[in-house]
Amino acid sequence: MKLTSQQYVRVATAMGFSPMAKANLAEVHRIATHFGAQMYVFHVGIWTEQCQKTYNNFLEELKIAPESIILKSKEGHPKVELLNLCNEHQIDLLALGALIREKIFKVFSASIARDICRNAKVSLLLLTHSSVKPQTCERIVVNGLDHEKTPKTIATSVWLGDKLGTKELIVVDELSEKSIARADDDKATLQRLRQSRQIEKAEHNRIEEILELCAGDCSMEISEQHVFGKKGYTISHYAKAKRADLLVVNSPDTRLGFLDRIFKHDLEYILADLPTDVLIVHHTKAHQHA
Amino acid sequence: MHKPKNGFKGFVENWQADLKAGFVVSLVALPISIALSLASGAPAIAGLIAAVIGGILVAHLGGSYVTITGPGNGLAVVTLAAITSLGGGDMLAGYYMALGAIVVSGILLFILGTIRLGVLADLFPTSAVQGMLAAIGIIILAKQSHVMIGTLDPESGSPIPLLIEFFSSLETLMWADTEHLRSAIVGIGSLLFLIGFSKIRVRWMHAVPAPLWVVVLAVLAQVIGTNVTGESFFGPKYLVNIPADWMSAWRLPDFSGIQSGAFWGAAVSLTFIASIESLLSIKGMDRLDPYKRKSNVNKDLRALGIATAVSGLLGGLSVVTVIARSSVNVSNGAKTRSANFFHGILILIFILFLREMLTQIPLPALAAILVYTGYKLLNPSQFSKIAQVGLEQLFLFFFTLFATLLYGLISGIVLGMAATLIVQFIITGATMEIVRYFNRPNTLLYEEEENKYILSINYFANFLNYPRLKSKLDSIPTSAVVIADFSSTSFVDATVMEHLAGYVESFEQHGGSLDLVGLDSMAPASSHPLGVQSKSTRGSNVFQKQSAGTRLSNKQEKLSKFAVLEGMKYTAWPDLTWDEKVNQFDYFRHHRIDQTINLLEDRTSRLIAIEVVTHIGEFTMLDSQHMACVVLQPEGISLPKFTLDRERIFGRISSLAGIQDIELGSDQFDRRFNLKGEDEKAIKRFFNPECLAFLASHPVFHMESNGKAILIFHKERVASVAEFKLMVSFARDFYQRICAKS
Repeated sequence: MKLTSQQYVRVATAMGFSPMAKANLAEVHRIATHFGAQMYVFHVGIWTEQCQKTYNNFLEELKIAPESIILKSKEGHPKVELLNLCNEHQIDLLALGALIREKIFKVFSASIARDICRNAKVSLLLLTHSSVKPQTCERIVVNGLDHEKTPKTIATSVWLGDKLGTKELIVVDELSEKSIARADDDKATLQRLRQSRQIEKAEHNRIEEILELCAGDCSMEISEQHVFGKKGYTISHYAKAKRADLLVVNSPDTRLGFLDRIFKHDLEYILADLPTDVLIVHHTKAHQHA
Repeated sequence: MHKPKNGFKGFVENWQADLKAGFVVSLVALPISIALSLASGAPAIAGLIAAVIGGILVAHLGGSYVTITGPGNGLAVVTLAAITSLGGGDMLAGYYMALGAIVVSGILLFILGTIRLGVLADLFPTSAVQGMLAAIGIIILAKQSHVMIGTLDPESGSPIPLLIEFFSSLETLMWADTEHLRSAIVGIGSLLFLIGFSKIRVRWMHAVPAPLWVVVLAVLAQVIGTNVTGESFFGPKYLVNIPADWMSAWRLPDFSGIQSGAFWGAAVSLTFIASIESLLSIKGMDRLDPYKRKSNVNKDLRALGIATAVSGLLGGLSVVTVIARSSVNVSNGAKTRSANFFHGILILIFILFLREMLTQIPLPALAAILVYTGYKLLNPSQFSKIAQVGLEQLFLFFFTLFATLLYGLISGIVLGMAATLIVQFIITGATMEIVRYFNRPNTLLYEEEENKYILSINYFANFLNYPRLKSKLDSIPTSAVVIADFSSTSFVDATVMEHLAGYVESFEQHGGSLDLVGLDSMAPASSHPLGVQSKSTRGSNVFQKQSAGTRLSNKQEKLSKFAVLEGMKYTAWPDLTWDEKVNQFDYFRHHRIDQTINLLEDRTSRLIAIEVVTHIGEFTMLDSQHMACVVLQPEGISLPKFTLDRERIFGRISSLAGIQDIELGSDQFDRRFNLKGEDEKAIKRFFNPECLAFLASHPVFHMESNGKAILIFHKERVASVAEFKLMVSFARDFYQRICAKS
């Protein structure tokens, strides 16, 4: 059986008129073109003439044909309406420009982008390094957790890498430090090393199986890295340290609430301090077209 | 070196060496244990019980190797406070209640060890701990200086008034009786002897430790004096009191106060100080251990807990690991824990057979030993050392010292921590960052290659999040090669720098290495290698030249030495013109240069090696990257435009897209490298067989040629000194190859 990736045929972005708007537009358009997907631009608020003018200017400067994009505008609460628009148009992937770091005073008021990714039912792409000039996605880091969602997430990143011309894919397997001995003294350190080697071997076999199913004939260089550390944080730090261009992770199992922001875990570590562009792969059969 | 075996085998193998060391230690421990009982306000036997129980139990249950356990200096201060406050004036009642608190604190210590809080001692800022230890020294000295000159019960209880009162105690000597005068002479004489002992050149005298000399000489004075004068030279109130029936006088500790706050306050203080004193000593001894064994601190804490509880039940003081006696142990050739065991057993023998002798020890002599110990703890020579690390560290040291003297040990160290934090807020300006990230994970450790680890530290590294860094460092085998990358760290404080220095030493001793990189672009707050290092996180160019003219980091020192060896010119903070020289390459279109550091320049300026700090993308200034590279400007040869790498990095440069891959026909080369360029002929001419053979025999370096110069680099991260050297020598050889052929 070959693993199929999550397919992205309808890609949407939200249009705000921030300093990064133009770069985001350019970036999402490039992505949609690579995927061969239909691009949607959503706007929440009153679509004034001024907006239309700026929007047209952007498209002109970026040399994008206006008819290639479907523009939808709606009034109402940004978060709610954006999610409604996604549902109405059966969007697969929502790409948003995001702040690299949440500001301390925004932790409680929460920026729209972060709020949406807590509630979204579509895959989410958070862009941190949008640029008008084209830049290729050279290195992708994807999570290799022992989780039912992981095979599909890896398959998606392989497919994505193929489309984006990626050269290197690193599967980062985060392992809990609780499963191995604590390095209390020399003897324990050795024991820890031995245990970690055993676990890494088992994990290697598991990931190898997934890769065989989905990356048999791809040209990318695929490697694995087993890292012991806190789940979520570790992969985020790794992506940053390795200068990855894209980090692909599983969607959260539960809806993230207010408490999760205070007692950070897993995905919250990544959202709190985005290391690079992040794709959160959502697994829903309902939105699958292929 | 052959490491001594553990357990019974180790005992059989090393018992002679351990017995000798244990014997010498017991000679030191005997007077000190009695003296510390005196300082604690407890009966003389209490300290001896702690030494015996500590030696016997911890030697069996402990997790460290050459440490000695018994009554401790810091504990004396806390115990005295507990006895006075719990007894409400009645010292004996207070003693039995304090014993209850000691038993409880033993249980608490055991729990600390069980839940692995051995990391606790590392949580405190170095200067604050030093300040607290110095304050303990002053507290002991303040009280005992009175006893030393014969005033057995000075009026004040708190240290600062006690110090002032010392002069009035001196005054009382004017109209004191002969006994009082004698004791003052013995006390001051003992102190002078202790101070001068290290300067005495007579070798045989050094066979016996100084405290024992003091005690022996004082006992001799008492015995001879008594015989000559025909009456008691010193009255019973000036002598150590160990009743003949001390064993039958035993009674259960008094737990009646267990519901009161004062009882628990005493128990918690005892636990806290016992764990800090022990953990610092264990850590210190790990460095002194001739066999470089690593102690299991949590196991040791559990053992100390059990020993403390048992000692308390038997009427003894808290058992802690003590550094002074432990280092005597090591310098006398101790090999395993049995030395501690022998020391305990020997003290038990002394109590049983030399009790008569022990009761002849005059208190002023013991007080002199304590005054000397207190002075050693204060150690005024450390002031200038602390000031070298940073004046703010000296301020924190004295702040904690006075806070401890005024408000007690626990409040003192807590205030010291708070002050350290505030000073860090001011110096680094990273208040918000510290508040937000101190409880989040900030370290990443992964094995890049077999036995080669990368440890990356995010945000900042100070005493608050040090336990996380420590647990990562501890998990790496010390024979491994580790690169600790601080390039995305905004500041590193003095406490962490000091701990790291210890780790660098430990890795080197075990055949590994720990390289600290990414600290160069931080401006040190002082010229000391352990000073606070910080860099501004706000803008890319804000810290451009602020560090110029200040001291070189460890890595920079090594690089400048390397430059001299290679006949190159080294500049730590090159000026802006060098940016342009590097900027000419396409690679840097996407990696905007913020700063250049560590420039190595060939005499002909044909070869430069430089470290650049770059950022990627637009509007992003936070995400900076360090990398080292070499720029070659070959003379007199035609240089084609090309890129050479392992099919990764240069693909990112979109302006080169469409340029074809070039195969040179050599299988080995084509498989390993990806060569791209426009002018295939010129490139094939350039890469002649000799050049190919050279490249094939070296690690893969990335190269970009723009027709005028060649950019060479290894990895897109900070380079360690070794990697830097490797790159320079590679570039130099490569340069010779390509120039030679034309």
